[in-house]
Amino acid sequence: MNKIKQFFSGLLNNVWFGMKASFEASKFYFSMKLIILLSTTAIPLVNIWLWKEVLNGIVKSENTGYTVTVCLSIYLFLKMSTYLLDQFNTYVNSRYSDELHFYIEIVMMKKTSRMDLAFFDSANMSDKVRHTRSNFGIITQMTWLVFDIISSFINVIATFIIVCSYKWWLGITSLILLIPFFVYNKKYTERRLKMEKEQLRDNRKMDYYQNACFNNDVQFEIKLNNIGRYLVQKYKDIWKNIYRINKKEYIRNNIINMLIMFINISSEFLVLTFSVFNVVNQKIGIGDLQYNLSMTSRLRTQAQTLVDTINQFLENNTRLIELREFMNLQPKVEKSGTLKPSNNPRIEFCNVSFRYPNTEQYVLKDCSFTIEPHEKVGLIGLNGAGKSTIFKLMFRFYDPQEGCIKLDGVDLKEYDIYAVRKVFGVLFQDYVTYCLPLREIIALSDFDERFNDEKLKKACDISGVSAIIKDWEQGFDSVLGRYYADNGKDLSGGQWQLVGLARAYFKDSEYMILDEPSAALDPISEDRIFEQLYHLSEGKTSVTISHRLSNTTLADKILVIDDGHIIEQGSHSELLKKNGKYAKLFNLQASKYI
Amino acid sequence: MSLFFKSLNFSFKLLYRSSKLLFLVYLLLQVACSLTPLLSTYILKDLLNCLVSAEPAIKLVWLYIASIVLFQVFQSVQSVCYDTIQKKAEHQYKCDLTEKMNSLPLAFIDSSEGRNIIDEVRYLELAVINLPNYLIQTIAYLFSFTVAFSELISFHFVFSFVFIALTVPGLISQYLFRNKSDKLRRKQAPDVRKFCYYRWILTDAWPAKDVRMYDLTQPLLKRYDEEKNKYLIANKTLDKKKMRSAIFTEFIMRSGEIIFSFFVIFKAVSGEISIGDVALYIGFAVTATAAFQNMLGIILYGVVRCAVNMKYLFQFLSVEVHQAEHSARKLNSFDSLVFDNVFFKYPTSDQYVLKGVSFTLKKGDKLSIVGVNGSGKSTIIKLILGLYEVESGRILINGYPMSDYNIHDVRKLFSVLFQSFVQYPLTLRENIALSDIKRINNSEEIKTVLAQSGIYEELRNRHENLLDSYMTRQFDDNGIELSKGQWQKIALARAFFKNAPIVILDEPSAALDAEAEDRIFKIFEDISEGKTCIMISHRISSARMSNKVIVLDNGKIVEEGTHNELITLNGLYAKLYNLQREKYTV
Repeated sequence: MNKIKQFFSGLLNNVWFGMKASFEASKFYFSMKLIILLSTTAIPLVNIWLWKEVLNGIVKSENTGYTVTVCLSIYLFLKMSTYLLDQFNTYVNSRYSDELHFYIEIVMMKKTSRMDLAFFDSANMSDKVRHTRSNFGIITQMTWLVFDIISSFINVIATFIIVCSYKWWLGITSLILLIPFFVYNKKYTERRLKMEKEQLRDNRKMDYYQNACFNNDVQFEIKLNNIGRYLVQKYKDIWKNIYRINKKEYIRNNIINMLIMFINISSEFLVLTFSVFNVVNQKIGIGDLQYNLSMTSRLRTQAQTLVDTINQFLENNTRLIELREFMNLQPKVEKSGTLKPSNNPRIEFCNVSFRYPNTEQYVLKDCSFTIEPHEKVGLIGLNGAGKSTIFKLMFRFYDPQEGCIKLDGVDLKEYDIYAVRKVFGVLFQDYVTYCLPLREIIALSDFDERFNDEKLKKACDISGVSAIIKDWEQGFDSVLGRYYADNGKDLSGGQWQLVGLARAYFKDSEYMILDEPSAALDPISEDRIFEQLYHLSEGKTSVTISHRLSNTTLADKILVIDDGHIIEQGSHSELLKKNGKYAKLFNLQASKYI
Repeated sequence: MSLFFKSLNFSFKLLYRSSKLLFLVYLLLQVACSLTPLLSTYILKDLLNCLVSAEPAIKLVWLYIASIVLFQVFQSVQSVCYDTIQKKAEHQYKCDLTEKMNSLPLAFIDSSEGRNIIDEVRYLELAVINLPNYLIQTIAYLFSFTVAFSELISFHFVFSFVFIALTVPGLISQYLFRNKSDKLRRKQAPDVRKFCYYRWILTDAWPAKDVRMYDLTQPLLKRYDEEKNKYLIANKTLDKKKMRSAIFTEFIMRSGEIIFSFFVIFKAVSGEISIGDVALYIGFAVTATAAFQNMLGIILYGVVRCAVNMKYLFQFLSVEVHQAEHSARKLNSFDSLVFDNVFFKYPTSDQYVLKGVSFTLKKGDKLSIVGVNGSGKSTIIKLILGLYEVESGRILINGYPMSDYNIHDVRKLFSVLFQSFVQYPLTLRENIALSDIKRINNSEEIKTVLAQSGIYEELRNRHENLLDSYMTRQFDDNGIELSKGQWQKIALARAFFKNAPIVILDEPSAALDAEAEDRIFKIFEDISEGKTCIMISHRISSARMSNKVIVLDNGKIVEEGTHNELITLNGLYAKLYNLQREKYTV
């Protein structure tokens, strides 16, 4: 009993949620739609009555000319109104669906862009996102389905009474015969939902194989290694597999449905046989036979519609439950402290151990170090040693499992994390090659300042982007990449990195964090970047990762990280003297130049 | 018109090709489905007649039941057929499209014309599949129109024609607005891409760090809003105009219906026709107009538009895939590669990237290409692989122009690590073997190249079934996540796996640590046995191992020679080299 109560309260809750969201998507058009819906249901009812009056008037045909004219005029006026209202409805629908589309997109964007970074590390999450996006439209359906259910219910009752008034057992039998239909349909819906969920990942894979062929970088490799056929074949294989499973299910469902249909339709045969028998015995007339027949068949179709609508309603309810689960996900990191950091904080890692969510291997193991304000620090280590991970923890993209990170002696969790992130000017290793106007690409780090040309120019000068764009007619408004502009500028790999650097510098931060800033740069640009970092930014703090060890020789402190913790630290000359890992790596590179 | 038949032909062929017999069954069922209801109506009529004349009718009752059952069976089988055909045809269309895409020259894919065409055809499957359906529907409407209209004519000749004429303004206005909204859609395409791009930034994994670092949610949502509002306003304006015109034309059309209703009813009042006829004739009138409207509507917006959109498809399919395969010269081994005064600019730009580049690469050469960012180094690689065609000048392989050979044969000569290598979210095995897919099951060799690029040791203990583990978590929650440098090693292993006579490495050590870099350069040094190698690297020390260095500046070769010669020359190369060397000798 409790369970049923729970189910219904959940159902009501979902309907309410659906209505609220549909209303929020566009208050105006949603209300319009409701008004139109109500009037298009009301007018036909009035019209049926009017039409009856007209016909009665014609039959009586004495002194009724006036009534007939009035009724007919109102009737036709209302009819015309419905037609015109229909056209208006088309307009409202088109507007509403546009508004709804963007409402959904924006809700999704708000949600995903605020989730913890770990959100993106999970295939399950990606499945969920896809599921949610494709199911979002049902929130408005809930509203209309409620109306549909009510109106079909009224229809069924009305017809049921008519049929019962002829033979009570006929009406009841007709409805009883529908039970298998209802039961099976509900079961089938559950099965289908389950299958749909199971196939989400395969569907994403299929999309990947197909979309990959429409990506330029992949096209290079497709052409080079002639793997186009392989990718298409993989796509075909997955499709075939899904198709095979679905086909089996689909055919099975159709056969069962057909059998159920025969059961349902047998009520009509019953009436037919019964009535024919009666006609032959001259108990009823032929007109009655036709009438009985059409009423039973009406009862059947109406009841089927009702069952269909209820089933769909229940299905949507299930989908909505999942959708709301997704909508209720909350980021863990974002909502913690309120402290504001200083511009040049002292950063301390205390025995930090960390592994990425859902993995078993620790990336950082008992890792401790300190970065003092105004210090220039080089972070050195082999590929996969955990260098970039340190930055991710520093900005709380993830939280460590053990140990803590302190800013000016206070646990990082006490701080307003967005304020902390604002302190740093950052170049990530996998900097994004945004296809936007140059102005926006550079100013992403401080977006409100994007029309500050002076600041843009400064960032471009420091990073060396100025030399690339000096001949560009549109200057900062030139679009990079050809995603949405045909005349977009293409940059080489190194030039893209310079743009990424410009973004880091644009923020005008006291604290620079550069992850392999010169990986793709030529020696001249590389020289300029490090010249800037070590000679021209007095008082600023910086942490730099570089595999070209010559770049960090001037650092105040070099941290050498191996297998998740710091194994050596000190200045370049100290570490060389120590003759450990750092010295080994440095000499390895230096030997190439001797 | 010829376009129409071409489109129709294409659609039918696609449907037939994807589902063969099923398609024929479907067509037959379509006919059967439209005939059986007629049959049951006749049987019912007979049955009633029999009952009136009190003849034994039990046989007819059974027949009637049988016909209804038959109809239900036909209908559900038909809908099964239809769904299946649709799914299959959709799939077939996507496969055909992707296969064609993979054979297109990059120059076409890059060009703005090509991009437009690709955008148009990518999601055209519904139009292609529905075309035959539209035709069937048109015929069905034509049928019901003829029946209703002939009844109308017999009732009142002039009225019936006036009646149909009144639907014409509506049809014209709809047609015009359909065209307008098509035009608007094309015009808006770049804007739509713009706000979709902001959406991408906010929801994709790659820019996720930036979004969180710079707290971009609000600012970018604002930009999204601005761009989307422009789009919405344009749509709304058009929709409004359309609505006004639709209401107006609807009014005209329905006025006819209303006047007709008056007319019929007063005829009934005056006793000229019976009450039963009132409903009948009004019914005919409504059916006739609706059928007429729907019929022309489908022809104008369905059929014509489908055919028009399919124009792009035919353009797409007719893009020439160059390189005649039959007349190809045989290419069994590699002797030499010559760039002869090559000029090149990308299809969408008017700036030359290469301006008269000439050099020769002989078998066994180790060539280094050095230059500042954006000097055209990677472009040379793309031209060597025949990914683009040169503007002027020639590229000769073994003394013959590249176009003499089958392009696939040419590409077989090269193992390449691109600077923007792809990180496939697929299995490790696929990530390696995608350079030579035939050998995908050769686990031993895959392990060998993984070891060669120095990543095998790190990975071997991470997963039980290492080679078949997924990379990244995109498709598997147990997928292997790698750092950028580790990915570069994977890409290197992929290049090694192909084992082609010429190895091209574009910035192979950009993200590598010192040890890995050392190993790669050693490989470059040792690779000599009969292999040829081209290396682009900003680690100028790597050029010391090559027997030939070319220095590119702004699309031209400014210096050429061995490391020692270039140092003596004391030009750009020496400058770059010394800049790096100094820092190691502090």
